[in-house]
Amino acid sequence: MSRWGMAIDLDRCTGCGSCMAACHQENNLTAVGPSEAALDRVFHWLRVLPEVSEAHAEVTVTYTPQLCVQCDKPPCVRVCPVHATYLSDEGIVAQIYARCIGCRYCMAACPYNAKVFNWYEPQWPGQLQAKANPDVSLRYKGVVEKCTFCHHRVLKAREDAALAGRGLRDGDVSTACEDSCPAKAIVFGDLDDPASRVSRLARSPRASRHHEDLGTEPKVYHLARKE
Amino acid sequence: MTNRDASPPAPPATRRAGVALRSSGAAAKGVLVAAALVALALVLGGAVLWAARRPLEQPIAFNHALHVGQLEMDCTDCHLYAVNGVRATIPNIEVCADCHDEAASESAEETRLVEYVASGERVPWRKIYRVPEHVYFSHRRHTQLGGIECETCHGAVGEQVEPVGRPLVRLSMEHCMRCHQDSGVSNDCLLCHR
Repeated sequence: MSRWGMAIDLDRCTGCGSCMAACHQENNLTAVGPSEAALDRVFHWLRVLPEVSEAHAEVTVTYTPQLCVQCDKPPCVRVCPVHATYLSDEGIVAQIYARCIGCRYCMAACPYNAKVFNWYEPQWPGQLQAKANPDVSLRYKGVVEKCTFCHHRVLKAREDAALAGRGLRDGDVSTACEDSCPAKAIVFGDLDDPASRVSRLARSPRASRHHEDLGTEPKVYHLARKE
Repeated sequence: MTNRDASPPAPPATRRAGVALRSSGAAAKGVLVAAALVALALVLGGAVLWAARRPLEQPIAFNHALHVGQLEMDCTDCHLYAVNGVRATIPNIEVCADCHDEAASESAEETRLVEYVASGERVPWRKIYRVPEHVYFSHRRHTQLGGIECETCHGAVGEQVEPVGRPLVRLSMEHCMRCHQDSGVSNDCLLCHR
């Protein structure tokens, strides 16, 4: 049994945004118009947040890719009245769309703003629906959706490994954001495997987790040089 | 003046009678409308149930028993990717043409298939199994890795002489979960739901 986690090296991240684009394409995220975007109803499972700091007349911008941190003690799961969101055996906070009633309690409970709600029937203009990823569902109006750590890729990779007569190895599973990152800032893998790249990075002195004080025990580590 | 004095009592009486008459008429109409609606609902419901029970009609009366029984073919000879792929396929002219570029029998159904093959037009087979949009199902995971026979979920399709117009085994989530439980496979939602 694996316990999936991710490490994001902020010192490598250039803020190019290719992870956002790759996530959109991989997970069949819908596009909203400018009026909806103004109401903060933009669909992102992963956002790159810029942070501007000024010190000694020098302006520096740092970027932080933020996605669902897949808490080991997820606040969203506690409030879901229908068990549509739950912590899977492998540590992924899942959202079962067929069960979701759209109450959005989980969105209110999430300290990371990681979930988005389908206010309207999602639309894929032109040929976009025909290009949808068949391994990922097309969501519908009235459900909350979120990052799944590209769980469909985990299933595929495990099948491929089993057909080759072996178990999963480090590097067998990669998320769409990881694959797209030109700076190789994102690393995905099994946190329970002490030899995996991600667990080595998680042990790094540069590693920290967002809102660690809340006790949610996230599995996404951000690495940054400490002042 | 006297006339006017004498007449007033009469009109209210007739008016009252008229109101009573009208209201009973309205009630009768309401009952009729309700009865008509109930009848309509029954007819529509019946039509839907009948349509649901009726098997789908296939464009060509394909004989599974002939191919699997007499000719000793495997399901996967035609249903490609049922063992090696995530999604199995329904064979169409490219697959059929391997054997049926010319008619091998006098059968009228085969003649029609050969016509499809010759014209390059695809056979509009009707799909009878459908995986719901919110479910991830991998054929190779179940057949090649799990060692499950096709018949477990699809029934004895290979023995069917008539074209298959409805699922021989009705699959439901309960069906999947019971099999997972019996064979010691996890029933974690995320394994099947996407």
